[in-house]
Amino acid sequence: MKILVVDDERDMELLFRQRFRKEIKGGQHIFFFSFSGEEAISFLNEHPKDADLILSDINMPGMNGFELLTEIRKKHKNPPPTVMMITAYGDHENRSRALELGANDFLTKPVDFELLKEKLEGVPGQN
Amino acid sequence: MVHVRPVRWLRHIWIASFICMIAILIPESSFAADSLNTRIDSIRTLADSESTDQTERITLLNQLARSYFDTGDYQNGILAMEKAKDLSMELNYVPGLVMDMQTHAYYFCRNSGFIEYFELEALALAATIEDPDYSIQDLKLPDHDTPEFNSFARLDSFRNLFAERGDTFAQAMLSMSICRKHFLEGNLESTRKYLSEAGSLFNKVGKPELRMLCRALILTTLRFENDMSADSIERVLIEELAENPEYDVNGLVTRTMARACRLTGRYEVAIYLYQKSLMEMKRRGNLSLEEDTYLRIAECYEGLEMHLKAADYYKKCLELDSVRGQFPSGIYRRLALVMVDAGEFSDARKYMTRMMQDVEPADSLSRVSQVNDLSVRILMKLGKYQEAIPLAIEARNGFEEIGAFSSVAEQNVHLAKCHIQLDELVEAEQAARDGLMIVESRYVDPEIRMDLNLMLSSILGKQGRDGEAYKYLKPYQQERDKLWQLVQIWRKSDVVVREVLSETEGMIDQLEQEQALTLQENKTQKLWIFSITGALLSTFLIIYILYRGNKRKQKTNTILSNQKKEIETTLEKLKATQEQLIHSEKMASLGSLTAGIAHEIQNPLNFVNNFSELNEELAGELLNAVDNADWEEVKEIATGISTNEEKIKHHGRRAEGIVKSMLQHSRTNPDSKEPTNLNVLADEYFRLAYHGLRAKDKSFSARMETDFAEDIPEVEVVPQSIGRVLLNLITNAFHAVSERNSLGGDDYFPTVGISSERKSSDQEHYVEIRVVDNGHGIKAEDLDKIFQPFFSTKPTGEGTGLGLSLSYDIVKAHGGDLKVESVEGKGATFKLVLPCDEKE
Repeated sequence: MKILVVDDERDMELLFRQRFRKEIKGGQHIFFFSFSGEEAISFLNEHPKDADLILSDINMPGMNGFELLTEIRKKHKNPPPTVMMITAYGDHENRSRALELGANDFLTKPVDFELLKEKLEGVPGQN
Repeated sequence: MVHVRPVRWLRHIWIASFICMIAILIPESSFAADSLNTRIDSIRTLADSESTDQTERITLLNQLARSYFDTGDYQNGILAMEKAKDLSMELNYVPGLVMDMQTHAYYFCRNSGFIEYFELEALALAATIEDPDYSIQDLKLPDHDTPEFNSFARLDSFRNLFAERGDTFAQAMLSMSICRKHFLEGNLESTRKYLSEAGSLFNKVGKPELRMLCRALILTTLRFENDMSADSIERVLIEELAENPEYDVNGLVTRTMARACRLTGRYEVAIYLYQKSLMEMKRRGNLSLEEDTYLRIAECYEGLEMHLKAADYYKKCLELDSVRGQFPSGIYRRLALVMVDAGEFSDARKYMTRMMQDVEPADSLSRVSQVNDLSVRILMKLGKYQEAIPLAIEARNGFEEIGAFSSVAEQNVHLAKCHIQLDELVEAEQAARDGLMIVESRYVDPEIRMDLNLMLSSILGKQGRDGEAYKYLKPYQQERDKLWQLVQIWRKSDVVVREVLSETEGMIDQLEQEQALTLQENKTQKLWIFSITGALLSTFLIIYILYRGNKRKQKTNTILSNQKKEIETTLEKLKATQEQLIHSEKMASLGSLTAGIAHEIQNPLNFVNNFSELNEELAGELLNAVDNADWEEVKEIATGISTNEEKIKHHGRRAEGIVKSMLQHSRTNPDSKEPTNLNVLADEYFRLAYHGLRAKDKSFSARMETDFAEDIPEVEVVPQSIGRVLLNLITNAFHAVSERNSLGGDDYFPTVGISSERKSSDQEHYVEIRVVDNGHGIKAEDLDKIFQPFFSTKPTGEGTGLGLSLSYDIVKAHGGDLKVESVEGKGATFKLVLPCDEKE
């Protein structure tokens, strides 16, 4: 599965690469990283087929996670990628707002990778 | 905190009431009343005559009205006045209206302030008359304060009459007359009652300025009674005058307030208020009022015993007199007296000579007597008592002839003093007794009465006639007590003197009783009592003299030190309040930081947790790889563990840094400057502010844009202070976009940007940090105010109104500048400019 991680914290890349070391080695998952909403948009424009799942932080300078989500739902409809939002604020308002804007699921920081791995099982496009 | 020199201000009050009493006491002869009735008849006949010219009729009707008032016939008086006024209006005959105003001034409102108000209205009206032959006629104050003409019942009935007729203005005028009568009778409470009635009536007829005058007079009466509520009324009046300067017509309200202060010995305030009223008078070019004000200011300075300063103001009067073409003999006399008090005898003599240059035969005797009086004062001060005596006698005779009885009594005081000095006790006693005779039959300045009693008592004591001495000591004590009772605003020095006096008084009472028993029994004991009495009497004199002598110094010192104390206390309070406010502003901004800080700490902590969990897992995998002897894998895992370990350390330190900066922010000790990377600082606070706001309002989101120039040098600043400024600017920006967002609009995206730029001009280098928002912007009229303390557009209680003001102060303290640009509806840009040393 091709996964795009969007977070302004650059160490997220290292964390994901270590956590999914085996999966990456085994070719199960391919990870792409963007460090801002804008970067993610341009990645998606250039590689529309390279993101089955998008994991995005909400609070980012510049374009935030919600804006990114809105943009994705507006422009990338065929097929619509699965989007999971990650944020430190695991509160009701953000959850419902994300779901309203078309997010498929929700994760809170610190990311529980076991849980994430379970969730990945259910993501469509995984063969 | 103004302290009063009792004797001095009482003197003013007593002189004022003395004049009033004279007015009451002068009997209006029946002959005068008869001649008035004849006059009324003839004027009425002329006014009614058809052959009389209309304008002449107006003059006659006005005269008729005044004559009616002179007889106390208000009803017919006001009818005539109204007729005259109606006719004047009909013919647009301004001199008639001037006469009407003058009648108002002299027949109704003979209270301070009011008489001037109408006088000035009359003058202003007269000034509009273009006829070169016209000149305003001076009206002499009529004496119609006699009891039979001005009974309360009579005034009351007329007042009710006008109330029934719905003539509110006339009703108000009569209330003023009634209040004046109460004032003359010393009934201040009723005076106030009618003043406030008149005030509301004036207000009803659209004369709020007259209502202000009424209130100023109420204040005056309260001051006379040392009523503490006067303080708050005074403050309210001053505030209202500041708001409605137009009510202070000709500065009369201020002037009335000044008078209240002057009469109660608050000379400093009085001077200040008189000066204030002067501005308005000068603007209107009213010379006579201006001169009178200089005169009052001079009196105040005399009260403060600042003789030369008083002289300066008397001299101003002289200047105005020469402009007005009047001969100021009265002013010359005052100047001469002031100079005697100041010990400047040659100046005093100079003014005495000037006094004599005006020789109107009518009062030349008074002038000569005044000059003699001055000479006596000078000679006494020089210790030439023998020479003073014949002049004092001459002055006394002169004053007696013109009926100036206070001055007669005063000459007797001079005479008695001279004789005492020359040890001529029989003559001294005679002079004192002569003086007391006048005092008993006439109304005289109580200070003179006190002087005379005390002196006679002392003379008798010296002659060994102690029984008689007590007889005169008693009235002195009573008089003094009466004065003391009036003075409730005690100064410390007064209290001390009083304690000394009351102690000696107790001893005297005791001695008096003992003396009654011992007089017949024991002559030796009598002698003993006498010697003690003598000692006590001289103690009195010494205390009295010391008391008077030291007063100036004490007064000035007390006033100065009290004012200093007051200012210091106020300053301390202000400082404390300011510190508290700054602290609460700090705490408030810390509060808005807390949530941001929590978030900022959460992020690195997440990494610490995640990476250490990861390492735990990797350690297990490492063991497996070793078991499998997969060295490639071992190498990879070990590298990973080591990298992760670095990350754990890095994020631990990051959290530590945030806690440190939080502590710095709330720190109250003096901050020190250090080279600071403003980009990092700005970025840090940008995040903190955003997360802080987010924590409060979960639904809030905004686009955050940063554009930091990379060539920004490190700048010497106090990081936590500049951080506070940045936090403030950024938080404000977020608030602005959030508010704008709540108004809706499809294409609106709340955006806040922060950028930095390095700039140079004229060899000066600085860094500019810009905080830009696309919120609702700032109203043009608010742009000037936003850096003022306590200015806030937020609802009360939500903002301290100090954020930007403190920020401004901080930036200024760094030698920088804080500027704002805004277009209403389009957003705002705040520019924080900080100077930096360019090190190439």
